[in-house]
Amino acid sequence: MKFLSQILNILDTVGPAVAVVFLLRNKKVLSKEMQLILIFCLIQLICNCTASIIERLPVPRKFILLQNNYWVYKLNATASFLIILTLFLKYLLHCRPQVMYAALISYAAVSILLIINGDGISQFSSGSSAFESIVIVALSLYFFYSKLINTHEEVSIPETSIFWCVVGIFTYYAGAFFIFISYKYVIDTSSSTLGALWRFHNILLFICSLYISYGILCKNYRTILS
Amino acid sequence: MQKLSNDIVVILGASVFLLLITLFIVVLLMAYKRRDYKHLKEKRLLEEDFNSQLLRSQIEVQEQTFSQIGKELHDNVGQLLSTSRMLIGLAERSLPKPPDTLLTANATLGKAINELRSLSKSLDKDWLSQFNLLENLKAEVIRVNTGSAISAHLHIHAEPAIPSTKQIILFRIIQEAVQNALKHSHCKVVDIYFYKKGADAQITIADDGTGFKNKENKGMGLKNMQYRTRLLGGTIEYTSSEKGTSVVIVIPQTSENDEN
Repeated sequence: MKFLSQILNILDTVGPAVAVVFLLRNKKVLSKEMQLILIFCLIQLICNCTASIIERLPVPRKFILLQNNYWVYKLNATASFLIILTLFLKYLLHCRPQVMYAALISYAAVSILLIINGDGISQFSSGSSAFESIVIVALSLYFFYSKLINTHEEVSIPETSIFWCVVGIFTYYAGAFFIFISYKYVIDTSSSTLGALWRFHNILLFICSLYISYGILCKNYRTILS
Repeated sequence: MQKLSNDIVVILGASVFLLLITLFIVVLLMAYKRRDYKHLKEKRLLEEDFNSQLLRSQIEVQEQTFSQIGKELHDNVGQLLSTSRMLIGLAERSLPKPPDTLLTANATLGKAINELRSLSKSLDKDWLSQFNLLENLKAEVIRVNTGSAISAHLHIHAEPAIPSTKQIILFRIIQEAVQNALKHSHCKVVDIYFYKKGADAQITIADDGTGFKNKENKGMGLKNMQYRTRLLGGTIEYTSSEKGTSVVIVIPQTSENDEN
């Protein structure tokens, strides 16, 4: 049981590492979309690794950045969100630059509001992570809808890489929504059993990475869905 | 502790439920798009089939028209010319010393009758189908060489394996390319090459003429060549420069059995 827990604990670094290896080892040229997916996986890998290292450091820790690893998770969430937002708005849904700017300003405003009204900066930002999840799930659903109504596709969508990447992102953010939104409540009530939730989160990230890795193997690798 | 466990169970349950919903959405989307794609593919195949049928009937009509013209030339105009030549022959013999102009007229008329015969043969599908592609092309080359100052050559590096039904179509494409060279390029030499390109047959018709500038402005002849090549399941490419034009046709080789 303890062994299984240990495996589940490292899934959040193993998953992105697998996806990064798949992305870097393939001999095909990465499209702009897939480059963003690679950046997303790298962010996940580096941040989760850093968070794990900080967690395992002996206490007391003098250096302020080593006090806790919440800032790493916050950085991870923000950077990942911005990358995925760019992927959807610019490359998959082809929105105008004004929409991009409006989305970024709205995100910044909501994040500041959430930090002021509860999340704070010294703990995991439950509210903003849940907000990011909602936005990404909505964008994924809109992407699926646009694919559903577009009947002039030259290639079968399930045979394209980006479809599987979006499926992975959608699964991860939709599945982790309740974990993000309830995180603050759980940590306030009792942080001792928080591990179960985080392990489930790791499984979701691992599934997301597997979807992305599978996407690389698709035959219509370079096909850009518009 | 018990309450907290319940909370976590509820959160995990809700997360699993959401996960299942995402899975359901993805499966649904995939199933729909697969069906949609299959439908689209079938529709495209039907369209292609329809276009192919249309092309086939267009070419069939064209062939019938050619045959009709060929027969008319042979039976009607040919007969009139033969009668005229016979009458000139009679006049020639009735005169003790026939004038040179009459002799020249007789010879010219003989030449015209021969050319008309070979032209009517090259237009008649029934006649052409008695011979294979290369035999017909050799006759066509002879016809071009006799009828004009242009020199045509046939170079066979590999014999194409094409069923007889398709040979007529390919003959028409080459004929059209040669005619285009004769009419528009002001060339002196036209070469027809037969190669083997992998499993396909490659035919190149090259001339040393002036070439054509506007590739987009395709005349009826070029369009016909494209239609016919498409019907054979092949490709056609034109390259034109000041040094001449070359038409490259690549056609998949099939035997009679494959056709059946």
